[in-house]
Amino acid sequence: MFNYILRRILLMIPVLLGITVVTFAIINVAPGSPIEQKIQQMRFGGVGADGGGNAGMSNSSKDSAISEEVLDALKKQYGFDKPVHIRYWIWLKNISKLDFGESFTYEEPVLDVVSSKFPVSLQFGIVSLLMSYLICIPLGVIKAIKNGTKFDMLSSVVLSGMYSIPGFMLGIILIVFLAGGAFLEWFPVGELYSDEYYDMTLWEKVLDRTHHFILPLISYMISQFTVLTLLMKNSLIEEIKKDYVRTARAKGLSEKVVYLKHALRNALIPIVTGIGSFLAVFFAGSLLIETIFQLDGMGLLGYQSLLERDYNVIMGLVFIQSLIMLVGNLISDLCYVLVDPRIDFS
Amino acid sequence: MLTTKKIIAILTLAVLSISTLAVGSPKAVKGGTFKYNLGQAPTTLNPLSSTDAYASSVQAYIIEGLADRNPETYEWQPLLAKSWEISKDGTEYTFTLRDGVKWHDGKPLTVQDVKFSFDAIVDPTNKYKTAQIKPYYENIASADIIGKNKIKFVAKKKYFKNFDVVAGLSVVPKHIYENPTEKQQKKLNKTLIGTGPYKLDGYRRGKHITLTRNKSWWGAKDSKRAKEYNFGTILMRFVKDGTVAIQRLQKGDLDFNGLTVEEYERKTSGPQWGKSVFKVKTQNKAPTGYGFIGWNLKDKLFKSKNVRVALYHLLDREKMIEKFRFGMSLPATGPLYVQSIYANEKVKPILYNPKLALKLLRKEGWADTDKDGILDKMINGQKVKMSFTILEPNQEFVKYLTIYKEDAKKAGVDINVKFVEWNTFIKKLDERSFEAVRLAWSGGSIDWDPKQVWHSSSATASGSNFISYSNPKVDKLIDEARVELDQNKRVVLLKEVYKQIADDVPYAFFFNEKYRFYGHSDRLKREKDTYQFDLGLNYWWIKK
Repeated sequence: MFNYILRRILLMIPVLLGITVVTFAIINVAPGSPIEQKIQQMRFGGVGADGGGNAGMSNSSKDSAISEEVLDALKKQYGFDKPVHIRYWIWLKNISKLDFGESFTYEEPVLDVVSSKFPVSLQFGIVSLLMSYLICIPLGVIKAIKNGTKFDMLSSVVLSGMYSIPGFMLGIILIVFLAGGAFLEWFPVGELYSDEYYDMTLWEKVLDRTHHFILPLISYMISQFTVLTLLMKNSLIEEIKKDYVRTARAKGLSEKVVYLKHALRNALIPIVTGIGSFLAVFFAGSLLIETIFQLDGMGLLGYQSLLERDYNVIMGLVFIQSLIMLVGNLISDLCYVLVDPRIDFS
Repeated sequence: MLTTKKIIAILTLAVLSISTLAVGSPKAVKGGTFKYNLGQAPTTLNPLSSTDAYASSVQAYIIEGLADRNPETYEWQPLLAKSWEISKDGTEYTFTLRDGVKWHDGKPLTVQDVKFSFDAIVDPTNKYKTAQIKPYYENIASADIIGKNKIKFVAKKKYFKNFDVVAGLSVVPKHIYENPTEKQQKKLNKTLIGTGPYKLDGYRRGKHITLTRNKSWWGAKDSKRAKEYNFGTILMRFVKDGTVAIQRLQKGDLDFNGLTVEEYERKTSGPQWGKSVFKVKTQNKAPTGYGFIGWNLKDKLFKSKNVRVALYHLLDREKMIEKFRFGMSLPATGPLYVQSIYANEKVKPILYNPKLALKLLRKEGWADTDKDGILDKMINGQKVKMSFTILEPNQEFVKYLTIYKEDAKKAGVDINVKFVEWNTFIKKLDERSFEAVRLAWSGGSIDWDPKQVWHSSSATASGSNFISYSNPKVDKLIDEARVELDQNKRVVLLKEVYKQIADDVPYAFFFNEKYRFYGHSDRLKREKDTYQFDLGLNYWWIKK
């Protein structure tokens, strides 16, 4: 087992190298670099893809040609005076010292930028993960036991309804109806806490955060909820049909013992596959929901870095996310062994 | 001897002349918190290296220039400089600094700060990462201190905007920015020290920025400035989504929010509107942009002016305005918003007229010879079809082009609309690998300089004249206008430029906006809906 884990960890190195080389190549081949972003800002006054139906670029009334001197200065400023492979090498060397470079847009170290967005994503990640497992697994089990009954059908209708609503759309609907001031005013609109937050007592702070947390959380969770519940249900039903369950029943065991002791453990295997991805909660983020609820999280950061060709941030995000994904997969595999004695890596 | 009548007349005149200079309501009161939507968090606040509009909105409250524009007259008025002189040939500008101005950290403003602010931008080693603002200052040779509080800027050549560039220079504290330690350097993107009416009070990433009124601001003691900047605190939120911003305005989380025409018409009704929150439709002369379809003039299809006019006649702008813009736009007539003093009112818009379009196309030899519904013509021995692609960088605008596509199809013109991601779009523009593009220019400056877009010298690879427009007469007039310091004479020259360009039909121009729209809370009071060239938020106040 130890050997297996060690082998897997060593394998991560070439995989990570591969991922970063490919990403580095792609972002360098794609049109638009940080330099070109700045040049565009100079030429067109900083109006980019967001430039609305109305305006696209600004007519800033200056000579349009950008002098060589300015171009050189820019290239040097961002390290683009060196060829791609040298830049990758420098990046790699810095990574070994855990230096991800500086964000072109924010003018601060990539790690600072990423970690400043961490808390937002982390709390949504953790809570939605816990909530979905705590609710989905029991719900899936009950649905499987009561398969075909009114409860099962009704809950399936509700679940598929939930699945068909995109999270961001639900977010807007929730704000308009429950927080906007035009209908009900039960919740605050967006953000993670009130303006008065810093003058509050600890208890008030907790309440305030929870109050702000509910609507975005619902929007975050809405779609994964259905998938996980139905996965649990179907997996359990599949398991119940198997011979060993029939044998257990034939032995005269109670339904409760048959379901919960015998079938459930095996039915959990597909769910366990997802366990490793719990690490991804560090990077949970949804661009649209973050935009609607004004949460400054990872989704928004990733999207904007791509738009602004903030290479260092993109590379930093890809590296950390890939690493987490690889470690997560390893953990998933190890969980298999725990759940299913038939699997043996050694 | 002065008679009483004369004295009254002189006094009235004096009062009038002061009131035309000083803007703002006598009813204005100081204090209160103004909750404002910045739209998005600025990336960095450092005035030397920042590039985004959000940062400049924050800096506008904190950092001052040598002079600024009066929102009513658009004349330059003293700010950090109490006066200035311009040399006869218009290439030297000597500013005299105001006395007693202090930085927010208590240190006095000196003429060295002004010099540093300029030198930092043009620094050849690019020490202060200012490459992005360098192009604006390329025409200014030097800034020389010529007295205790006097500084002289010398321009390389005559150009009517030179003064604007130096007068608008953001003056930053030398003692903060010149040689920061590594530790200080890290803070520069989150802090701001200026001389302005507000101090940066707090910056919570992902939450808001708060500014508080600078009690020792020099302007508070200046009779002409005393009615400005009335809010005690400004809380800047970062609400990007339009619907959410309106909800927050309704709720009182915001006091002011700009509106689009669609929001004004469709999303601003409900029990609170007209009671606790109000919407305003107003006109002012601040520059507005225009959208366009630009024809690649090097492309064989669009070389003929008749073809361009015909394609313009197939563009049903009135229907688009009716359908998507609630009748609140005007069909544009030329390369500048029609309300500008430089726009030529004699130029009439080219309106939808499919019959005339067909007539013009036939005149140019376009006919449907193979009866496939698309016009064709023999060019250089080859049969060419009247079929082309318009590149579009904005998904939202595709609906406008769909109308165009449908109408054109009826006339035998085959138009494809292709949505292209922004960076790829720019690349295609630079490589000139397009037939037609849909894009928009934003308003720019009130004083128009068409060189960037319309001069043939701007048709370089990275230039803004990507459609390769070239008219020697227009070039000559633009060159003349750029060195003409008398605005009235410039108006004459540029009105001619406007007419010439409109006559050449290099673009199919879309719309000019008739109005500006905004919503505000009932706490927010103002003298009037708008000033001549600005909404004038700086003169509004919060009801006690």
